Amino acid sequence: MSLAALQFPPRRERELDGVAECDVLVIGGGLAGAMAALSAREQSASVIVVRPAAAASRMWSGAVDVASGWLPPPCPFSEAPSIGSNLRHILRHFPWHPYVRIGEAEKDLPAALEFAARELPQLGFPAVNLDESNGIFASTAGGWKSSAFAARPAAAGDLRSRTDSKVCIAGFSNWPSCDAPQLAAMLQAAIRAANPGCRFEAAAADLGEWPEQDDPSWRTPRYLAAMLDANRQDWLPRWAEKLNAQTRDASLLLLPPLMGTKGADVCEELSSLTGKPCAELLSRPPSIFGERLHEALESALESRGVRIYRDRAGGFLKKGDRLEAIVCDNGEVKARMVVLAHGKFASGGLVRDSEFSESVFNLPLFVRGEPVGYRLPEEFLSPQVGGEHLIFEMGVKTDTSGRPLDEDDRVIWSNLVACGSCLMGYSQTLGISGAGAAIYSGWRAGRIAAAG
Amino acid sequence: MQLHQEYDVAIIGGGVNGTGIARDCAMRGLKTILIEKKDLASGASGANSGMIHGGIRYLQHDANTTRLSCIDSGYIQKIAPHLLFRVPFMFPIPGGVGAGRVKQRLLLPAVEAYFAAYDKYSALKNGMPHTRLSAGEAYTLEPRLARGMIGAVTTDEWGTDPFRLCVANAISAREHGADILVHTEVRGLMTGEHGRCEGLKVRDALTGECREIRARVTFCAVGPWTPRMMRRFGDVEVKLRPGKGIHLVYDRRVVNHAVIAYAVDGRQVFIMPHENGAILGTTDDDYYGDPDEVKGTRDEVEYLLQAVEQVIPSIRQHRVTRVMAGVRPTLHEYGKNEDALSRSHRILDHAGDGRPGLLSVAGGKLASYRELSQEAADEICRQLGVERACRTHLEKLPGGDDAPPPSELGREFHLPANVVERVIYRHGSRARDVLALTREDKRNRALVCECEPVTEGELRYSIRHEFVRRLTDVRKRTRCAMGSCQGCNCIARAGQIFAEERGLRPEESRIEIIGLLQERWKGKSVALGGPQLAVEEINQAIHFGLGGMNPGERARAAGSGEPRT
Ligand SMILES: Cc1cc2nc3c(=O)[nH]c(=O)nc-3n(C[C@H](O)[C@H](O)[C@H](O)COP(=O)(O)OP(=O)(O)OC[C@H]3O[C@@H](n4cnc5c(N)ncnc54)[C@H](O)[C@@H]3O)c2cc1C
Ligand SMILES: Cc1cc2nc3c(=O)[nH]c(=O)nc-3n(C[C@H](O)[C@H](O)[C@H](O)COP(=O)(O)OP(=O)(O)OC[C@H]3O[C@@H](n4cnc5c(N)ncnc54)[C@H](O)[C@@H]3O)c2cc1C
Repeated sequence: MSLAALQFPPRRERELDGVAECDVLVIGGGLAGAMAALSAREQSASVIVVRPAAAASRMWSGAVDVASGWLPPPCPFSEAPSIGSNLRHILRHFPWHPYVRIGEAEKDLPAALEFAARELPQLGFPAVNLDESNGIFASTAGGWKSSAFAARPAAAGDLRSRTDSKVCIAGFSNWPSCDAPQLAAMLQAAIRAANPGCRFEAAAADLGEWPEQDDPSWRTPRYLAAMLDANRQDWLPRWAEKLNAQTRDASLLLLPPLMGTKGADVCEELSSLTGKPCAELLSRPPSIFGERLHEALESALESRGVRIYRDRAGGFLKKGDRLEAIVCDNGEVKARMVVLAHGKFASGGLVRDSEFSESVFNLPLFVRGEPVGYRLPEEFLSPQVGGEHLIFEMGVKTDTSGRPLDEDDRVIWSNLVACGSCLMGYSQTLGISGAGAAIYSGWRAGRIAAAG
Repeated sequence: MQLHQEYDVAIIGGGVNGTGIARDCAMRGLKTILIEKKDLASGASGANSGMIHGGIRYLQHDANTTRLSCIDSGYIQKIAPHLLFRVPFMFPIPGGVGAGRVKQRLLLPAVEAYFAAYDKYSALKNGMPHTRLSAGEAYTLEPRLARGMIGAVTTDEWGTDPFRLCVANAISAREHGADILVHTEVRGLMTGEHGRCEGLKVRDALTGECREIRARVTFCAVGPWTPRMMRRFGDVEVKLRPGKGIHLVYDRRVVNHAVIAYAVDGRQVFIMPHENGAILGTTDDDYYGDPDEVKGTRDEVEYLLQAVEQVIPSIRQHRVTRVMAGVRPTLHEYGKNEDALSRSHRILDHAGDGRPGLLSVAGGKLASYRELSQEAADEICRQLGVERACRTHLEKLPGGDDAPPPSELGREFHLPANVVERVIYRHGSRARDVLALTREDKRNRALVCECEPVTEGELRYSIRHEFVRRLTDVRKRTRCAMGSCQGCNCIARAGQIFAEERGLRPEESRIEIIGLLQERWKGKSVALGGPQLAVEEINQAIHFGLGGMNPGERARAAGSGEPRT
């Protein structure tokens, strides 16, 4: 095992020491924070990102939900509503959603998504047409998920047009995180249930044991992907041979999500060796797509000249209604504008100890427009585990430009803009608008911060 | 399952007492059947502190109970050594303020004298004698202890995994010929001449199939359900003072000892290491509700935290993964407060109530289940005219023989010692049978659950051999989904394994997965906060955002197809 492979992704962060200055400080380096930093940079602002660690974005499954709406459910696939009509459904029925509260989503979403595609070329995001329906992607959780698009090489796995064909899910016999026979059975049942009368078939293909001595299940996907990169000349032809023997009548091959650290190259090679489209399944955490997203964000920030500090924002200095500086564990950052993108519960942006609070500015939190105050968690929980848990829609309420508001709808800090999953109004857990809302609100926040 | 025409004895209830009685009866050669409506250990036996204690509390007014408890606790240790672990207790003595200081100084020798008296009995169960610690020693051993202690006294008790204890008893019963029916509810009794109870009417909760089971003696061991069941089916009055108790479950061990604290009303509570985590308990309140619906409340959680905060000030910073709640089947007495109630038990013969052939038990503790079972089996044998002596204290429970050391098995099966160690803890001398599955299929070496940890092989072993009928049942056998992630990482995969073993269709396996998620949710949702809220957000993303459940199903699970507008 070469050391270089293990150092994926390379560390690009530095330590804060004393006082740093910039036009725009972004708190949080997830998808939303990075989008904000990059879009502010595009407007020629000088930008600093502080973040202690990677968070929800590094668990990302690989698909971008822009407006996957579950009403009406996209079944059968041929009659699924367009992304645009799902979006309008959100605009009409969820007045708390960032798409409604911030800017003009219907007009600006395509530009935001295009921006993300341009800044993160490794991920191969396609151009999005809101008049089309959502893609349908299989995941290692079993079953399928509808999303506007997926990163390369999951993108090729779109099942919309394959409801009358046969696909093969491949797996390693000693890596149960992607148990091909089980996943194939689950996928076939789920696609058929959604498309009554269709002739969809999903079969399993066995790639044999993972070629290394080590038990793959005791390793992370990231490690396995790096091993693959190092050994691909050896392994890929062997796998292609196995696939060719087992998948003759399949129109698509779905592979375990560990096909190299970079993403597309391995699947492309397998595709040319087998003569069939090859795609990775979407992944549950630990997710190689999350690793690739993280790597893509950090390398984009670096190449655009954004400074990344590994630190945690913990407080602030103020003058009137302006934030003068943000105090971090190892120093201070002075900035003209501050973007808050520190995520929801999974990343520590919002916390609940004795009460709910926002962790840096102690901003008031809201659920569906109502202040949370001292209310208890159980008031926001459904008794059904799969029910509607409003707790995960909790967040910061903003004006139309993204500035956090207090209970009386007054702007709290004139130079603070919030974006991403710390916003009130949507849940990043439901697969409706997670990454899409992060991209949209981050992109907007960066532009406003650069101008403000 | 092929059932006998008639049984000597039918036992209702698969808690520690039901399974213990079934084992004893089967070992005495009786044709035995046990019927449990849910899973084994789903009543009080699955919601207790897991203490096999010697009853130090009884020392004040009933030294004989203490002696008997200690002897029996010693037996459990001999028949199931793999399932028992030492729980050192620490009673910290705070310094007090003002005049209270003198009182506290005098308290220390008094407390010590009390424990010295207990040492005599404690030795019967292989307990270590008490020690007196200086403040400095107490802080070294328990760094999280509140400041201002003047010293501490330690004593020694035993803890167990109550789920495995029930399962081990049921396996032993089966190996002695008993039939064990789980997820089968007793719906009524069969009545013959002169009100004689001649057996049971049961319904399989999974298939809906109803049958009648004939038995010469019926023994009702349904813990807190006893009064309802006896009234409804037997028209017999059995009085209990059911006492609800909750525990907070922590993701890690938090303390090295069981540390005693006093609640606002003077009750003793504790936080103690348990399995790979810690538990904080317990409350004891009269409970008049349905034992099937028992659930912790925030008030109870707050009451416990307030108490333990006095001795472990950092307690609120630790991560509560869930709240478990149960109902004690305490004997009835009027006019006493909950703590003062007797913890002993009584075997009741309902011949006097006009129901010959029907027996039941009221009261009882986990720690004395073996003794209770012996008394029950003695009475059953007497009624059947069978003369066979009890051997449950002599013959080991399954897995109770000497187990090979973890390092040896680890080398043999190429697995890390910490994984093997847990297999040995749960399966004792049968660990090798469990690990052998790793040779059958390499996937069985993978971890399904990283918290405990549990291998795929152990899960399959349980599904095949340990009365598992639903996915949620694997939890009690293996602790899968019981660790710090509360199922976030393991439930989907466990569902796939279960589906494969049972040949379930995907729709069926999803129902199982939702069932297990829902079961966990019940305990998690009571104290959701702190880092556990972060875990839950990820849990929701994995199970409801990633396609494991499709939109239509999600809407159905949510109970509505329309978002609120
Ligand atoms: C398991 C999982 C699967 C998902 N799958 C999908 C999917 O398939 N499709 C989809 O569209 N969406 C998906 N999402 C949702 C989507 O990935 C997230 O909503 C999105 O990435 C959130 O980005 P964010 O920048 O708002 O937050 P995060 O990625 O959580 O970033 C927060 C950042 O803030 C930093 N931070 C926190 N506190 C501080 C502080 N005090 N000071 C400085 N920095 C701080 C963190 O370190 C981190 O860098 C998924 C989410 C999860 C958890
Ligand atoms: C909070 C708490 C802490 C405790 N701590 C300790 C401790 O540390 N040490 C100790 O020794 N004891 C402790 N106990 C007491 C101990 O747990 C119980 O006394 C013991 O488990 C009772 O076992 P059981 O088998 O009689 O009843 P249960 O375990 O309640 O079993 C009764 C069974 O009957 C089943 N059943 C009910 N109705 C039907 C039906 N119609 N058909 C078929 N089956 C049915 C139920 O599903 C259940 O599984 C504690 C109890 C609680 C609640």
